[in-house]
Formats: sequence, structure tokens, C-alpha cells
Amino acid sequence: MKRILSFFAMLALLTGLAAPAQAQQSASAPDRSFSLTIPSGWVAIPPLELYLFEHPGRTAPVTPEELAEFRKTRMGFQRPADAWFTLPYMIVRLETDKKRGPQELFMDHVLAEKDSEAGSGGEGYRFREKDHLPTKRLHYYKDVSYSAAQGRKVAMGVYTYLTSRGFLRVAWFVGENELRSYEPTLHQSAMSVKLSPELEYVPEGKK
Amino acid sequence: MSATEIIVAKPLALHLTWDGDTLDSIGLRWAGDADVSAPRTGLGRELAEALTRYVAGERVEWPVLPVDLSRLAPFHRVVLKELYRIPAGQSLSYGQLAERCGSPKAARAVGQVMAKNPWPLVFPCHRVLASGGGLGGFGPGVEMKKWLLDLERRSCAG
Repeated sequence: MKRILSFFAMLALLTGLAAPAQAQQSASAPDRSFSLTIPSGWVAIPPLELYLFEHPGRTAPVTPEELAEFRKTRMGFQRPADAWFTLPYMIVRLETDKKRGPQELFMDHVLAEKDSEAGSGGEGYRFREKDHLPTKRLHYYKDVSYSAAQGRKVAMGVYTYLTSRGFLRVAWFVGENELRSYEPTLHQSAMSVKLSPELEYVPEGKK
Repeated sequence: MSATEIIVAKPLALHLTWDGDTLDSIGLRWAGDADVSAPRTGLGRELAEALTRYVAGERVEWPVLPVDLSRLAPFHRVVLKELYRIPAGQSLSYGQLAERCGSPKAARAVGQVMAKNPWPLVFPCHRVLASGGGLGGFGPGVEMKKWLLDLERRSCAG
């Protein structure tokens, strides 16, 4: 009996070790400058929805040229739902006109807490975690704060990559009540960014 | 607990002052005859290597300094972030830097931030000049400011 139990214990362990991480699918920027994996079954948020989300005061029609330019640097994904920006969702944003360096990435990391707390107005704010990974030229930051738009507490993770064009930020948002079930997958997605050789940061003096 | 170390790559010397794991300040000055480089930390060694290449006229990327900007006033932080983005071989006036910080009328305040810059050379306050094209001030001396700008101009041209 003991041998059978230990067999099942071993089998359970091996099964657990061999189990694939939560299924993911791949997504790329329109110009292929970067790619990342997103949770399986998630859908892309249309560029126009992303544009209007970012420019809430906009009343004039968005021209095709504006949208074409905008979509070069923005991507959004969410779980299928009746409305766009239903939690949880992810937004990717690439800067294009900033020459930044590793020192700025570090400073961004140091100040992340302060900047985020100020941005959230401090209501219900709770710092969760942050890390700076200099060899990957990446830092990330996670917190929870009250969102007036959502009418509840929302957890957020922002992952900042240093690229040759500036920072590439991947941000995910999830209701605090669903954080435990979604966080591992969202973290995996946000950490999966791959930059093209052109977008890869090249240190000064090595160009 | 503060500790210090000295980095020398003649003609320049950097005096690093640490507050625990945070780099409190860098003192920049001309190296004296008796000055000898004595890096004690990993960062000190990286800085020594970069400084040697810098004074030899190479374009270098300075190592990441473990600085704590959260102790500085918000405007001071914004100015230092924008200052850091001025590349070698280029310069801005105090007014232009103030504009980049979103406060076009704050040239004088920018000048004060430059005067108190705790990490010269890496945060290149020597690349900020007076509006009329004059050199403006520089803590370690205007002669050094001119020398640094000439060095960087040559390294970018080459």
C-alpha cells in the first residue's frame, strides 16, 4: 500500500512538473518590432477603442492617418466580454521619440511607487511588489488602488523595457478579487516581450 | 553609514560618497599628482573603467548609479531626468532645459538644480550653458567645463 501511495505521489509530482504553463498565444506589433505572448483566448482591443480610451475628451473624428500612426505604438488585449476595457485587460505602449538609458530605467524603478501613488490619488493605494532586472533592461512594479472608473479596487502591474526608441511599457489591470487567479498568467505575458534587433537597446559606444 | 572611494583617470578624479548602498554624491575635480585610483566597490571599478575610456576620448555609457531621487523635490527630479537625456556632443541653455521640463520660465531654478547636482559628469550639468552662448557656471570650475565639452565634441566628431 505504501509503495502504491508513493507511486501516486511521484506521479502527481511528475505530472505537476510536466504540466505546461497556462496556455498562451503570440501577438506582434504591426511592424514586427516586438512580440509577446498573451493569455489564450484573449482578443485584441481595436485601435480606435484604444485611441478613444487614451483620449477621453476627443470629440472630433479620428482620421485614418492618426489611427495608423497610433497603432504603430499601441496594443491592447482583454478577455472576451460585452464591452471593451472590461477587467482584466492589458495595454502595450511604445515610446518613439525618447532617447533613454539604463540610468533612467533605474530611476524609473526607484520612483515607481511614488509616481504611481501620486497618479492614483492615493485612495485605497497599496504597494505590492517591484523589481529591477538590469541584465534584461527591465523593471516592473505592482500595486492596488481604487479605480473610480471601475468602481472598485483594481490591481495593476507595469513592466518597463528599455529599447532603442525609449521605454516599452506593458501594463495589466485586474479586479482585486480576481488577482490571485490571473496574476501568474499576466505576469508571464508581461515578462515575455521580445524585441527585434532594431528595437533592442544598444549601449553608447557600441553602436 | 557613509563611506568614500576615489577614482582617478588623469586629468580627472571622482570622489564617491556612499550612504549604505546608495551613492550619495560624486565630487568631480582635477586629479592631483599624488592621487591614485582606489575603487573599492563594483560600481567604483566600473566607473574607473568608464572614466579611463572617457578621458581617452571614447564615447562611453556610464554605469548605472544607485541614486535615490525620491529624496529630492519633484521639480529637481524632473530636471535631473531631462538633464540625463542630453547626449554627449550636444548642449542646451538653462532656458531650453527648463522648457524640456515643462516650465519654460524656470531657467533660474534649473540653474540652481545644476549648481546642486550631486552626480556631475554622469548627470551632465556641464552640457548646460548660459543663454547667450557663454559657458555659465560649473562647480569644479569653468575651465573644466570647457575641457569636458571640448573632449566630448572631439569624441563625437571622431
